[in-house]
Amino acid sequence: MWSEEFDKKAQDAAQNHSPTYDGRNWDKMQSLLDKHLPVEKKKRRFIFWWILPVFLGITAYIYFSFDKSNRNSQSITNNKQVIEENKSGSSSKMENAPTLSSGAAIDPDKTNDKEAIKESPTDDNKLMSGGGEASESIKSETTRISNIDETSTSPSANPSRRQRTGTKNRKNIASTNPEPVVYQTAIIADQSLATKPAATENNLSPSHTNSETEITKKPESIESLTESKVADSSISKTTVEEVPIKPSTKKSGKSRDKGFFAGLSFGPDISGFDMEEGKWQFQYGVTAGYAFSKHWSVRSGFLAARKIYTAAPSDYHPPYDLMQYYPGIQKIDADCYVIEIPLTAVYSFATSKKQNWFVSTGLSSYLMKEETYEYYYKNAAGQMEKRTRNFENENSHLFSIFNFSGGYKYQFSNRIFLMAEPYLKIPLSGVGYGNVKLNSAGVLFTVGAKF
Amino acid sequence: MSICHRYAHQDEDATEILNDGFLKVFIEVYRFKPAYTDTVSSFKGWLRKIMIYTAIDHFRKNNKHQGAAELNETYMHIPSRSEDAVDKLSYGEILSAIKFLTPGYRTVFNLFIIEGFSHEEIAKELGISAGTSKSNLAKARKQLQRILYQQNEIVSKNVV
Repeated sequence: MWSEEFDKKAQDAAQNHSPTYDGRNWDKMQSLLDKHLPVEKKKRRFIFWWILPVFLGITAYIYFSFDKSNRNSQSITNNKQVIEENKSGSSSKMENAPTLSSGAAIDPDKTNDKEAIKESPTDDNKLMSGGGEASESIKSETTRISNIDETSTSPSANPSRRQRTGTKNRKNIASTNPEPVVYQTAIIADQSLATKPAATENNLSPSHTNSETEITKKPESIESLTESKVADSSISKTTVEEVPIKPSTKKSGKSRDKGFFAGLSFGPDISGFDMEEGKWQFQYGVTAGYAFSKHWSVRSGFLAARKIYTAAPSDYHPPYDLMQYYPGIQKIDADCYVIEIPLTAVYSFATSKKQNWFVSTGLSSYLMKEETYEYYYKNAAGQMEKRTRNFENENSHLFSIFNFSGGYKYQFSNRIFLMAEPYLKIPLSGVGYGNVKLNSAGVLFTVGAKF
Repeated sequence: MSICHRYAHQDEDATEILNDGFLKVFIEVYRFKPAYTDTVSSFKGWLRKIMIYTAIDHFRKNNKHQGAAELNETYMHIPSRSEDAVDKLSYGEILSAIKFLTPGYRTVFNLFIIEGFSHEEIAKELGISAGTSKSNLAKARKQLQRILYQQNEIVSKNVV
């Protein structure tokens, strides 16, 4: 008898045998894989990676170029100083009127502005902690400012003045008094500090793509391969566990059209009644949405921006008869920090794998986080005075702004995209404390990712 | 690779069997479903079977001209010199001796002794009769005795 020991030993030898690794075997395997399972290499278009920095550079240029006119403004803490100015013409007086807010109109540091507004220029200024609701207590002190120099319009001569742009179509609100005396008044609102929304700081980083190896699943090619390699392949006829075909790891192109997406948005924004008296500001925020199909999607998000504009008395409609207190009001300078929550429907057309055009419309909600108004009026003596009022978290306008935009979207990869869309926002009702019909326009750039 | 070495005489043939087997694994991995909870062991068994069948395909492609071997009643009788002759054989010597077998005998020996196939299954896979499979197994053992004796002068027991 053939020894059963030898059979057992042969089995043990086969089980314990560990051949040495030869790297050359992998080279042959690689050539086989390249031949039968080729992987398409993604072509990167290097030049399109520069689009984002170019857009950022253009936006920064627009921001800084319009911000130069706001460099000479003074913070509210400087209101303590007695400003001696020479007489000036009526129009130049209005232009050179001292302001509260800082010159850096697009200053994202809201805390500084808030402190500037809060702190009184006078000795009696105190921060009064408020209760739950924002209540207003007015503490006013008048400082007589004499000798306003109408010719001293340079920032060096009068650093407290904020230069205004857009004098076209401005009503003749200048005083005809050759020597007006401007009373500088600081009004401190007694309100609790409102917390700024943190939505503007959200950073949504695009998700990482999987690094799975994609194996093309082609049943037809598999059968042809096995038949060409081996004359009588026995794999399919054997007792190897054959199971229902697992779904392919490679996603189809259509499934990428649906799903959530999010991104960071930024861009220039201008607000006003006719856009000519407005100031370009920088808005920023986050955008998120869901795509139902290749063409339709819905979008929302949080956008923060400062809206600086000048209103005529006829455009300003406060909740109570403010004009009783300021009968000779000439103009109102507004500086508002607004959080916008848009809700828009987007329709994409001319779609391709890399790009598409789209139009978007919907409604936006404004949350007036901070409002500062400077009222220029004539007192009983015919002298120009200014009073400042500040509000925090007092006004909100849900779905009250009609939002319309259109733009272009470029896909860097299956996930990362860049959008550029000019927009127009028209209020359906009054905005802010003065219920003004504040229009807004600008360009919004969004860098985002699909999930 | 150890499986492929047992079915091939030369390393190049073993590499070819290995690469062809892995190519089939990459192509049809989506069809794999674990037979039991231990996925790793289940996959090992699935991979092992693919390699075996790839080796069989390789044999059938390269040895079509070989006909069914006739049963040879002549056995080589070598008197036993040591009771523990088998124990002195190393794993490497046994595997090396298997590689020197005739391709047909080598395949049958591997499938029956090591893989545990029955003669009917071997006959179905190789396209031969069960009787031929049995005779090839006997001849494989005879050849192994001769090879091992020539290599190491180790005496084997008689085949009955």
